[in-house]
Amino acid sequence: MTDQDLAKLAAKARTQLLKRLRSDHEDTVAATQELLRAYKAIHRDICQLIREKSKTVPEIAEALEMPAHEVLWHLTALRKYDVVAEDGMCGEYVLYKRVEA
Amino acid sequence: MPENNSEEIRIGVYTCYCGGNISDVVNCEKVAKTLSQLPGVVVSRTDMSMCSDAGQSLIENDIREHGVNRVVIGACAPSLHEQTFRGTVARAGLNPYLYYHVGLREQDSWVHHGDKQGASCKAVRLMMAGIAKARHLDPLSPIQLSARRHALVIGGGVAGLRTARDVARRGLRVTLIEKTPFLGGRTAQLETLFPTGENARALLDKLIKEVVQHPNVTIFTQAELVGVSGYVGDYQVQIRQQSRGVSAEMAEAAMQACEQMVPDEFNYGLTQRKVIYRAYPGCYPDVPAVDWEHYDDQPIQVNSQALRLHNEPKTFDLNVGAIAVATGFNPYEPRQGEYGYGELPQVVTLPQLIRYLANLNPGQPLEWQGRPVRDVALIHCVGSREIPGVHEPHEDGQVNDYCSRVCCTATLHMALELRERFPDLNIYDIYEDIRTYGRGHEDYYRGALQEMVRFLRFHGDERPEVLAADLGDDHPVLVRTKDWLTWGEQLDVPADLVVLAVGIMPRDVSDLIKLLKISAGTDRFLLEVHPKLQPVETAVPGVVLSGTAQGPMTVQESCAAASAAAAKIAVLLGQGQVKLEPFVARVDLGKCDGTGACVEVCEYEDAIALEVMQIDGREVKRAVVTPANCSGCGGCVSACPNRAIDVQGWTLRQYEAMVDALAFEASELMEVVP
Repeated sequence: MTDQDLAKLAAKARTQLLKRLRSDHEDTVAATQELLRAYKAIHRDICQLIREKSKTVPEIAEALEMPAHEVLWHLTALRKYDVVAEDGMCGEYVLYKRVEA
Repeated sequence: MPENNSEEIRIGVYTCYCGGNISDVVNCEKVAKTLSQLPGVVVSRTDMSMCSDAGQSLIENDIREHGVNRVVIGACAPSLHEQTFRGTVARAGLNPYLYYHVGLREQDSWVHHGDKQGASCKAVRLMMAGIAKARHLDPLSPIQLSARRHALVIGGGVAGLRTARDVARRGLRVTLIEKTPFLGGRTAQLETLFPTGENARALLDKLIKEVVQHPNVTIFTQAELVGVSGYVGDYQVQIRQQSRGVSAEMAEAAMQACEQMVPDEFNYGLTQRKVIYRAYPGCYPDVPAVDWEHYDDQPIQVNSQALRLHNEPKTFDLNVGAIAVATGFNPYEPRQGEYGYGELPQVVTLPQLIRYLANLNPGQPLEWQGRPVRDVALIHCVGSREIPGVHEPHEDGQVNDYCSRVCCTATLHMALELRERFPDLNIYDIYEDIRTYGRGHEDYYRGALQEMVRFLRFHGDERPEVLAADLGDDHPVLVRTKDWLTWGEQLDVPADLVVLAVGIMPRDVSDLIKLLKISAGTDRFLLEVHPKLQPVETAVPGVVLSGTAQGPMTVQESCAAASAAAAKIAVLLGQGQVKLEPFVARVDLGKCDGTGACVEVCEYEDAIALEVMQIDGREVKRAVVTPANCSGCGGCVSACPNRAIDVQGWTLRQYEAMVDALAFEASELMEVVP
């Protein structure tokens, strides 16, 4: 058996394993996918809002009609993965901007 | 994997109020009621403080009376009380690893105090994940290794000596290695110590004598660690020792005859010494040594014979059970031109002034560069508390934003010494903040106020400037500063001598960090596991920190840290046996087909290897774990294509069960609870 054959077999085994794991944890996959879809929509809205002009948490919260603590929670996640970044201060509040890839 | 599914799982769930820390935010009663509905949960209780004797008794009682065989506790951080509850569970006769700890304080109530309902919901989810894991827990046993009752101490300063002495006194063997030719370290360069006023040399001599005379201690000077393998309880270390250069009989004559002079680092370059030298009179060992770094390879004429010196380093192996790192610190060396240092001869560092005064005879007037000193300015925080973006980074790109802690009291101690020895001196203390934090340290500040030391206060982002005075001025230098005690008035302080209170810098021990696989913090000092819970332990079992290698400390604090390191070593090796957590990789030989993917990804030396073995009459290669070298990182688990490896106590099945539980919408379950 060649290395290529072995690699193919390993890839097939991985696919089967993932298929089995998905099927074993069907409810978990569905629940987390739903959650991710909801988060993704919020992240998209936040990113669109701060693409042109940096905004503070209260400004974003007002625009999206969301509690400020939830906005901060999402911004923290986006900040962690370098999707947004701080862009100076506006009074006592930090301004956030979208980081262009 | 041996997950036991035959036994009936009876789970006891305990939600702790943590004295209000959790219950002020999380509705613990509702959480407990919600969890009591879950299959397998036989008791679900709350308590004001599960870690109290009463709380622990509750758990023990449930194990004995209700046949609880899995325990889930939602409380503070596991790092704080996991061991406590393992003890509780074990006392009731259950395997201590059939318990899982959920962090409801740091992970929930403290971070969600603004959302009580959300926090309660999260508590249920976290606990459900813990319960899901508990269903798949297996009994485990700690890994037991025989331990050599022998410790290696790296560094012969006050901390290393103290650790060596304390370990030896507990009946263990100690090998102490010191990189330089003499013991004593930085403490030997001090004169009197605050806050006791003791003579540093006298204290050190006593300590050195105790160490040298102790039969359990072996000392190697000019020696350093060059290789390490093995694990806690049985480290194989390789040590390289430089030659002393001259025999004990010839050393004195060779030192007398030697003509090559080099700057004397013991006096911080203020004086010169010979290349065959003693660090200071009365140092240990008493035999002079050759400074190989500076020796120019020229023969030395001794008794009309040309003596050519050769360094023939020897390397030897040693087996030890634990290692203490006591590599000490370096005083900050100001950059050329920083506060005039290196450009204006009247600018010196505090350690230099200490050495200068130590070499000045009693009663001799204070002079600098042949000129009487009437005005001295002491400047605090040089090389400490620097502000990123304001102060220029050092060569390594770092800014020393930490406080060196000892220099405020050291500066005030110096101010008082100057006042005592030279009563007519004008002393200016130019500071950012006075941080005399230790017991008795504030007395030095009060003493300096009483002794008419003049204080001026600067802001961290506007530090003083040291300028050469105009020709013809009475004083050679001026210290220009904005004094915030007089609301920002700009003052020019004329001075004959400017003393920079330099901070404490970590030594460059990058080789040692690599060898021992320990870590340094962002401040570049060596890092402990936890500043309060494991203050001298590193993440590497059996490697402990001692003294200022870990951060700025006074001599007093260094000695305390060194004794703590010794106590840790004594506890670890005292029984001749080391117990390690069982959370290491385990291979299911039935699933392993010897791909070797685990060996490729493993970052730990000798933790996992392919070995040839007989299975069903066939010779096959299978992965075998050496538990003592395995850190339980799980790298091999993710690499194995056959799911043949698990980390004990953190198996894939347990993770999957936890993820399933976390994904479950807890609020639905909570709604049915009244």
